Amino acid sequence: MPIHACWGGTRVVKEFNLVIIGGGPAGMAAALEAYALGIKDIAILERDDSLGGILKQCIHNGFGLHVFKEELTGPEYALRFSEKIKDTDITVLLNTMVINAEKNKTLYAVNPDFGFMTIKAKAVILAMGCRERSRGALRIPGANVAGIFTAGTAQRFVNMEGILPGTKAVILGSGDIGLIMARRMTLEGIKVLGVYEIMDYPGGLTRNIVQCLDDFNIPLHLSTTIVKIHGIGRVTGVTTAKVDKNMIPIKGTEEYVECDTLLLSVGLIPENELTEQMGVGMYQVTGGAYVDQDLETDTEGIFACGNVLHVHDLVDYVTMEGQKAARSAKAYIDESMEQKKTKPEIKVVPGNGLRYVLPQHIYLKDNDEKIRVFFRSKARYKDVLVRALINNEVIAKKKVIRLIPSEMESVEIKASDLYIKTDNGINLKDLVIEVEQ
Amino acid sequence: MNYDICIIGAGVVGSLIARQLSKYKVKIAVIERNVDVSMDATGANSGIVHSGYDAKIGTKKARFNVEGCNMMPALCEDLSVKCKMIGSFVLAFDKDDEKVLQQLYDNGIKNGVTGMAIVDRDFILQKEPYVNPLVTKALYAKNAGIVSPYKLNIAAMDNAIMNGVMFLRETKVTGIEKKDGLFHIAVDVTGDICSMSKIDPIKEEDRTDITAKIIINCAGAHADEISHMAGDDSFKIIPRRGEYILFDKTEGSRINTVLFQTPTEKGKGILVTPTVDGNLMIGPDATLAQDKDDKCTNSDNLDYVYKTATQSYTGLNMKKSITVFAGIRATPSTSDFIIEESSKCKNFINVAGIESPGLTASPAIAVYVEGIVRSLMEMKEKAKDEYTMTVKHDKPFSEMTNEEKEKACSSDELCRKIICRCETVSEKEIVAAIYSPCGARTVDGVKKRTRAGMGRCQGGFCSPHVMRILSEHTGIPVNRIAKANANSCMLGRYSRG
Ligand SMILES: Cc1cc2nc3c(=O)[nH]c(=O)nc-3n(C[C@H](O)[C@H](O)[C@H](O)COP(=O)(O)OP(=O)(O)OC[C@H]3O[C@@H](n4cnc5c(N)ncnc54)[C@H](O)[C@@H]3O)c2cc1C
Ligand SMILES: Cc1cc2nc3c(=O)[nH]c(=O)nc-3n(C[C@H](O)[C@H](O)[C@H](O)COP(=O)(O)OP(=O)(O)OC[C@H]3O[C@@H](n4cnc5c(N)ncnc54)[C@H](O)[C@@H]3O)c2cc1C
Repeated sequence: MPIHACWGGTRVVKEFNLVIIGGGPAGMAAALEAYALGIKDIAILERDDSLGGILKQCIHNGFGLHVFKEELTGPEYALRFSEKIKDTDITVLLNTMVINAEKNKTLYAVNPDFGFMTIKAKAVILAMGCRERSRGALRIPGANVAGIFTAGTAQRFVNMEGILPGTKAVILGSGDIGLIMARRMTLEGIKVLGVYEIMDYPGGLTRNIVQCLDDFNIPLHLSTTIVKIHGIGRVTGVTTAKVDKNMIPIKGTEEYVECDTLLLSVGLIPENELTEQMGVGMYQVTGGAYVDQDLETDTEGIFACGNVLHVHDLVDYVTMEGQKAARSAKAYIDESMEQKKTKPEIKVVPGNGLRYVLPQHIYLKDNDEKIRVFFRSKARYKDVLVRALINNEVIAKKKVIRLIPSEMESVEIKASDLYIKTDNGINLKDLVIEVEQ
Repeated sequence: MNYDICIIGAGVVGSLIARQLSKYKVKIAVIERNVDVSMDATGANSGIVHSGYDAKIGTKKARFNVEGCNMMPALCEDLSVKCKMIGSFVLAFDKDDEKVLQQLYDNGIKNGVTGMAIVDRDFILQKEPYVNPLVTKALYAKNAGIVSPYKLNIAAMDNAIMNGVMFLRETKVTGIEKKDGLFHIAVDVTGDICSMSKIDPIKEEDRTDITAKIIINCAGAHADEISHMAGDDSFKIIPRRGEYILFDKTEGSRINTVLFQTPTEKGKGILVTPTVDGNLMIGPDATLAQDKDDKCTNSDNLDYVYKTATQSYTGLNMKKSITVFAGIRATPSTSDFIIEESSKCKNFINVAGIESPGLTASPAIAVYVEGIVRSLMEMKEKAKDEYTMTVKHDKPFSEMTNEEKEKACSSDELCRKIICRCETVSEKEIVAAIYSPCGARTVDGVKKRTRAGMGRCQGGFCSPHVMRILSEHTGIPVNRIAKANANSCMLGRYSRG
């Protein structure tokens, strides 16, 4: 492992051209791309004892269909990147937790070998991933008992520690991790009684519904939630109820389900404490930083990619986003980017039917730049046109056969169109992405 | 085992009494049914140091509240517990409310409260920009504050154990018999966590054939049952539940003072307060509990807490809530604290009905009970070097400056392993919590002592690590590590091996 030998002494201060916080797929892709582009002195700071991020516990198939054109498990996908990193002189600092960060790109981290470190960087790529939403954040009432796990924590126990959470489980939320854990627990001999989802459609990928629930006869209850947790010491059951259109539980529909384990798969929250410490502007809807088309945040030289920016359903897009952030960081370090960003920016806003867009603003810099705008819908649509409008004129259109909130989509915009429609950037208007009515 | 004094219940009251008596040459045991201190009322309350304008003149509540409030900052200093005297407002929104403020003020003066003033809208909004701007006046009490109730409880027990007090946990009192002036106390063992632990395991002889010359009943909501065992049925405890919503630290930075609503016949309103660790908390409501140990939260009650809180405070962001919980008030049928030797049973002291402001009052109660015990039994004080009344703690890693962190890390490898990422808790702090005098044996025990798992992810990331560390040091197998009591094992069986 290429850890620099020069570290030591009492005061550890080290400078890098590029520091990447987080060694998941986003961070690894960014590091490799940056290396390929010739950036010298790159460091990855990862708090776990190996690279790979969340992928290490995803021992199911379904990773890399787009990037490698084959189906890999999470650890296999991660290994493709971490093996390559070994052949580079990228500094990989494992067991290294960044605990503090400043706007001027000074980071403070703790590591078992070097102790407390001060790290300075020319450019920083944020790739810290996300954490799972907990029971408390949902305020599920009832007993404060053991036996309630977020799906990812349960996955960690089962896949990495070899200990099972319980014997009879109920899963709240139909996010992908929950679905995968439904199958995993069933295979381990745990009775999975059902998956309960408050929305009227599942949260996870369709293929996971089929392969993880249908194939194992695990019932999926839509428009249903858990209204109370019962137990003394440990969960003994939950009360479920149907919900109305406004997601309010309907009185009289309560059912008691006996179980000793409750798994929560109710969403992920980007892990942006460091981002906020650095004073980087945030976008409420995604819970990630507010970025431009180069994935640069509103603080120059700080870029974001992967789940820390917005929650992804496919690792392939995470990888691509990481690579993109690295290209931008390269341009920034070479000082060939910032001066181009002097023009006022165009805001990108989600219109009819969309929950969010990314990037949230675009700088006009290269006439022939092609800009991919990612988005998620608020509801389910079939055979719709998604269009990009500026000044009430359509500049791009895309037919989407199936538009669902759990699957990210994108549309490509030509910078030249933005120039024309804004009188070369003089007459600025918002760029609206929307589902055609 | 023969003891001079048995204290039943290791809440803040029992633990501070144990500490207070630990300076004497007497053999003391604290008997607690739970695996840890502070798992009942003391573990789930508002954590407010009340100034004392509230309680009825002439009651024990009024006396011990005001005395306790005055003692609290120095006691917390001695025990290395956080206590911040940040002041409180009772907010008025109309003329009726304002009348009540005046009554509270007058009552406070009679109770001996100092530092009160009725203040106007500008003063309030300047200090608290998120108070509902319709506020008209407030009763400001400078001598009010916040404290970490469970930290105070833990430190008190740490201190007592340092001075030789025996702490019998997972031990429930089931019967009391008096023979020849000596109490014989029957107990049930409620769990095996503390006997499994290789650090300070509970020895069976310490809890077999327990006798005591004096019993101090500090059993909180169950104090009437203990009193009944001693033949005294002069009071009943009515359990009343209060529910809370706790918010992320990002929300705590916007509030500086404890905000009460004006009490009405309908109730005391919902308070909004920062906690000593920087979170924001709202609550409690008051509902009758079916069962003294029913700490379930309920959606209707939580909705009520939220809606009522928004009437006085505009800064709530429900997206930032991180947990909900409930506590049980031990409301006495006599409506005042009961702190006296039982008239029915000699040498049996009731310290019962200690509902709010019991946390505030607890330091004063402990000193008062010391007086009662001295009147019943000859006790000699230990030599000055045989006991201590202070507890020193290392500064939590998260509160160190960069220079301090650097120093701590260079001298200690365990500092370099951050276990809880939300609260930046190092492995060193977790290990210290396990080996402390009243050591943590459970995931919740570690959480209360170190804050690992108290942050925004609520242990999602650190609980597997905390369980590993607990298991490594105590020798309890990972799949027997519990959240709280022995009936709350975190995990099931091993899938392989
Ligand atoms: C259970 C699950 C199942 C999935 N299934 C599929 C699937 O079948 N197919 C598919 O294509 N995609 C799937 N995905 C999606 C995809 O794998 C993720 O979106 C992707 O792993 C996110 O990568 P990331 O690098 O942004 O985050 P992560 O993988 O979470 O990596 C972030 C890294 O940053 C580190 N870090 C964070 N904060 C700090 C700090 N302060 N200091 C140091 N290090 C830090 C973390 O330890 C972590 O290693 C799944 C995701 C999950 C969670
Ligand atoms: C909702 C709420 C809000 C409050 N807010 C405040 C506030 O803001 N400020 C304030 O000053 N006060 C407040 N209080 C009051 C304060 O919390 C209590 O007065 C204080 O914690 C009481 O401590 P205790 O030691 O008497 O009781 P507890 O902490 O309940 O301890 C009693 C102990 O006795 C043990 N026990 C019971 N039966 C047995 C048995 N048979 N054998 C062995 N052990 C037994 C229990 O397990 C428990 O550990 C509040 C209380 C509640 C419930």
